[in-house]
Amino acid sequence: MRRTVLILLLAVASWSRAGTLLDESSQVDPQAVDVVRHAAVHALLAQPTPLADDAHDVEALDRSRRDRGLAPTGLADDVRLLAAGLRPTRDARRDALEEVLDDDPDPAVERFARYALEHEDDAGAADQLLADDRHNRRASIVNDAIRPLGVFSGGVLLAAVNPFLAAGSALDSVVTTAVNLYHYNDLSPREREALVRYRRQLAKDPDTQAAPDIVDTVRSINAKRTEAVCKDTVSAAEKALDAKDLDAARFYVESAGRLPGCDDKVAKVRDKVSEALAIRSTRTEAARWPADDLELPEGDERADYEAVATATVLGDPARMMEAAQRFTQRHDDSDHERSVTLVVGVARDLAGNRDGARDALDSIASKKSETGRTAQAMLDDPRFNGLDPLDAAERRHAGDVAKYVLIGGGPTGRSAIYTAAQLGAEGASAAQTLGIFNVIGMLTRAWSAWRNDPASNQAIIDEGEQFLAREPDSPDASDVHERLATAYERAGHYDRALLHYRAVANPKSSRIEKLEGKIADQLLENAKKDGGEPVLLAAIVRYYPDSDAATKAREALEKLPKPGAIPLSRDTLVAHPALLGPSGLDLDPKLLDGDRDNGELGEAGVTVLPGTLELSLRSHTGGDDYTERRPISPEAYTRARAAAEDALYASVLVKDPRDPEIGRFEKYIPVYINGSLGESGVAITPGIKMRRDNSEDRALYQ
Amino acid sequence: MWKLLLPAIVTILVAGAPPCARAGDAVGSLAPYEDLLEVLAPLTWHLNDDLYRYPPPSDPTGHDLFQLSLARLDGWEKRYPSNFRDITMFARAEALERMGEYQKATDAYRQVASASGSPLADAARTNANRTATFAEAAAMPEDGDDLEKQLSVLRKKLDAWGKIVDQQAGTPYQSFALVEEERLERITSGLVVEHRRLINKGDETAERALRFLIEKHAESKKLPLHILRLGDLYAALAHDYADAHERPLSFKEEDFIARTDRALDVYRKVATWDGVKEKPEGQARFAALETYKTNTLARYR
Repeated sequence: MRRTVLILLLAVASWSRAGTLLDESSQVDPQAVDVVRHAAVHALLAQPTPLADDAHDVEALDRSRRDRGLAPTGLADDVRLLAAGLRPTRDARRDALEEVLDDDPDPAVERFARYALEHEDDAGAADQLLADDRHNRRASIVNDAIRPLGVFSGGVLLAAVNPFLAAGSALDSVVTTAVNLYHYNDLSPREREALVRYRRQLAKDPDTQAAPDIVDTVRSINAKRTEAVCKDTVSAAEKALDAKDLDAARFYVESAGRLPGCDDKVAKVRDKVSEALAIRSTRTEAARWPADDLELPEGDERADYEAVATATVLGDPARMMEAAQRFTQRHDDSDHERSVTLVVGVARDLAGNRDGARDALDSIASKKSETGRTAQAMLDDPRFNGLDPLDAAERRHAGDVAKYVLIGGGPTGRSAIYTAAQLGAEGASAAQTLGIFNVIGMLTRAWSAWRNDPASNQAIIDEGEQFLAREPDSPDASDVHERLATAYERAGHYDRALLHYRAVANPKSSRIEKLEGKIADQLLENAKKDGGEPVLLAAIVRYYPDSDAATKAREALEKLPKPGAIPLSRDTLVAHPALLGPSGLDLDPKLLDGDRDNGELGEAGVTVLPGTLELSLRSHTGGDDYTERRPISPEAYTRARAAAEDALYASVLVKDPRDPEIGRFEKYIPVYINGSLGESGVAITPGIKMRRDNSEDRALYQ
Repeated sequence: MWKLLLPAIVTILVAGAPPCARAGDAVGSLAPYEDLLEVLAPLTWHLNDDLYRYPPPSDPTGHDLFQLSLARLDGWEKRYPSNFRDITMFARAEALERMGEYQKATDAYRQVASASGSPLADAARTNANRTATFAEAAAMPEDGDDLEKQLSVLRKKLDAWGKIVDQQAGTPYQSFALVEEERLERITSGLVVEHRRLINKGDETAERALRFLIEKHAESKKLPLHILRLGDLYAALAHDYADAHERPLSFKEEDFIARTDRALDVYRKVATWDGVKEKPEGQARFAALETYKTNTLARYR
C-alpha cells in the first residue's frame, strides 16, 4: 500500500515537471535553428563533409535534449537525408538511405527515401524487377500445374466417378506445365525494364561495386532481347504472309535480315515471301495480256460480236442489250455466248435492274472459264451480295456467344500442342455437361453474356458501316441502322448506338431514352475516374437532364469546390495541427478540441477563399453543421493558401504508396486460396501469389 | 481497489507526459524548419543531374521536382517571410537555373550575393556570373523576317551557346548549355524541313540536317524524338511521291515502296525501343504509315 502511494506521489511530481518541459520544448531552440541553417547552407553548396558533421551535430543536440528531459528535435532524419544526396557514389547513397530508413524517419522523409531507393537507384530497382520476375515464373508453373488437376475444385466429386475428367485434368496439367517450361526463359517486360535500368545505372555511375555483376546480367538479358526482337520480326513477317500482305511481309523479312544473328532464322520465311511475290508478279503480268488461245469469231458472227463489243465500250445499256439479243438470236450455239451473257449482266446492272443482272451472272459463273471467273468476281462484289456479309457476321457473333455459354472461353492457344492439349482436356470436361457444376458454370456464363457481350461485334459494325457508306439510300438502310445500333450497344459504344438508332425509320422513344441513360451513366463513370471532372458533369446535366446520372452529376457539381477555393477537411486539419497556427489559417486551436461549447469544426473543416475563410462548425445543440464566414486580409489569405497547399501536398506525399492488394505477411507466406463461382463451375484453388508489376512505365516495355 | 486504479493512473501519466516524438517528427517549434529541409532535400539531391541525357527528376507524387520545389519555396517564404531568406532565395535560383530561367536565376543569386553576412553570398556571386552568361545567350533573338535571316540569327545564337558548352566542359552546367544547343539545332533543322521545297536540293538538305541532329545528340534524352522526325520526313516524302504520281500509269510501285519502307524502318527503331516515352508514338506512326502503304498500293493494283 505504501509503495503504491509512493509511486503515485512520484507520478504527480513528474506530472508537474512535464508542464515545464512542455513549455520548454515549445520554444524555438536556437541551437537547433543554427544546425538547420548550417545543414541547408552546406547542402546548397554541395559540401558533403561539413554536412556529415551537421548530421552528427543534430544527433549530439538530440542527446543533450534527451538528457534534459526534452524530446529530440526530430530533424536528424532530414539532415541525414540531405547528406545522403551528396554522397558521391551509388553504393554510398544506398547505404546512407538505408540508414535513414532504419532510424524511424517521419513519413515524408521515409517516402522520399524509399522513392529514391526504388526510382533513382536503377540497379537496385532492376534487381528487384528480376527477383519478382523469377518469383512469378515459378509461381506461374506451380499454379498452372495445380489448377487443372481439379483436385481442389468442385469437379473432384465428379472426377471420383468419371475417369475421363481425371484423365483430362491430368493431361491439361502436364501439357500446361510443359508449355510453361518451354516458355520459361522467354523475355519478359520486367527483364526489358531491368535491362534499361541496368544500362542507365552503368551510364550514370560506372564505378559502382556492382558493375561486374550488372555487366554480366546486361549481357545475358541483351542476348535474350536480340533473340526476341528477331523472333518478333520473323513472326510479323509470317503473319503478314498469312494475311497475304506481301509488301508488309517483304518489309519484315528485310528488317529481320538486318538484325544481328537473325538472317538464318528468317531464311525460310524469306523463301516463302519470295515465292509468293514471284507468283503475284507472274499473275499481274499475265492479267495485262489477253488469253493466248483467244479465238475471234468469223463472218456474220464477227460483225454481231463487234456490235456487242462496241456497245459495251460505249457503256450504253440499251445498245448493249439490243446487240446482245441480236447475237443470241443469230448465234445461239456460239462459243462466245457466255461472254455475251456477261455483257447482258453488265447492261442490266447499268440500267438499274440488279436482280436481272444477278440472274444473268449466276447463269455463267464458274471457276472453269475466264468469263465464268469474271462473272463470279462481279457477283462477289458488295453491290450484288448486299446484306449477306452483315448476316454472316451476325450469325458468327451468335455462334460465338452460344459457344461461350456452352463450353466457356476456350483455349487461348499459345502453341499448337498447347491448343490441342487444352481441347483434349476441354473435351473431357465436356463430360460434365450433365453435372451440377457445369450447369452452374453454364448459368454463370449465360448471366455474364447477358450483362456483357463476350463476343466481338466488330465484324457486324464493319460490315454495317461499309454497307451504309456504299448505299446510304438503300431501302435496307433503316434495318441496317437498327442492327448497327444493337451491335454498338452490345459493344458498349452507346453514343454510336444512339446515332444509328435515331436514323431508324420509326425509332421508339423508350429505346432512345434508354440509350441516353446509358450514355449519361458512362459519362458519369468517366467523370468519376477523373476525380469529378466538372465539364463532363455539366455536360451530363445539360444533355441528359432527365436521367438518373444527371441527378448524381448535379449533386457532384454542388459538392465541387468553388474556383480558387482550397477545402481543408477536419481530418486534414487534425493531421496538420500547425495549419491552425499564425503562419497558416490563424485560427483558435480550441476549434479542434472536441468541445462544442467553445466552437468545434465540422467534417467539412475550413475552406480558404480569396478574402474569406469559410468555417463549417458543429451546432451547439447537436443539429446540422452551419457555416461561418470570416473575412481575411490579402496577406493572411496568401499565407493561409500557402500553408493549405503545403499541408495538402504533405497529405498526398505521405499517403501509403503500398499496394492495398498486398497482404501484411505476403512477403513470408505468399500463398492464396481462391474460391470462385465462374465459368468452370465452383472452384477452390490454392496458389502462389504473383507479384504485381507496379512499374509506372509498363507500356514501354511490352 | 488499487489493482483497478493503478492501470488508470498509469494511463493518465503516459498521456500527460511530454510528447515523445519519433526520430523523424520535429517538435512543434521546429516544424517549419523541418518543412524547409524537406523541400531542400529532394532539390539538392538532384542539383547535379545531367538534364541533357536524362529527363528532369520528379517527386514521389510524379510532379516535376524543380517546379514543385519552386512552388514550395514560394509557399514557405509567404508563411515565414523573415526567416532564412538567403537560403530560400539561393534554392529558388538553383531551381530556376535548372528550368532554363537564367535571368530570373541571376536576379535571385544576386539578391543572395548582396545579403550581408550570408555564407551563401560568395557562391551566389559565382553562380550569378555563370547564369548571367547563360541569360545573355538565352536572350539573343531567334526570329527573323525570312528564312535566310532567321537561319543567320539562329546560327549566331548557336555560336554563343557553343562557346558556353566549351567553357562549361566537365561541369554539371554543361548539360544545361547542351540542352539549349540541342533546342536551337532542333529549331534550325525544323526550319529546313519546313522550307525544303524552297531550298535548292531541299529534300537532301533536310535529311542531312536531321541526320546531323541525330548524330550530334546521340546521347540526348531527346534522341528518339529526333529519330521520329527523320521518320516523319521520309513519310512526308512518300506522301509527296504518291501525290505527285496520282495517275496510275505514272505511279511506280517500287519507288513508292522504297520511300515508305525507309520511313517504316526509322519508325520501327523507336517502336521497338524499350523504356523511351516516344515508343507508343513510334508504334502508332509505324502502324499509320503501314496502313497508308497497304491502302495506296491496293489502289494501284
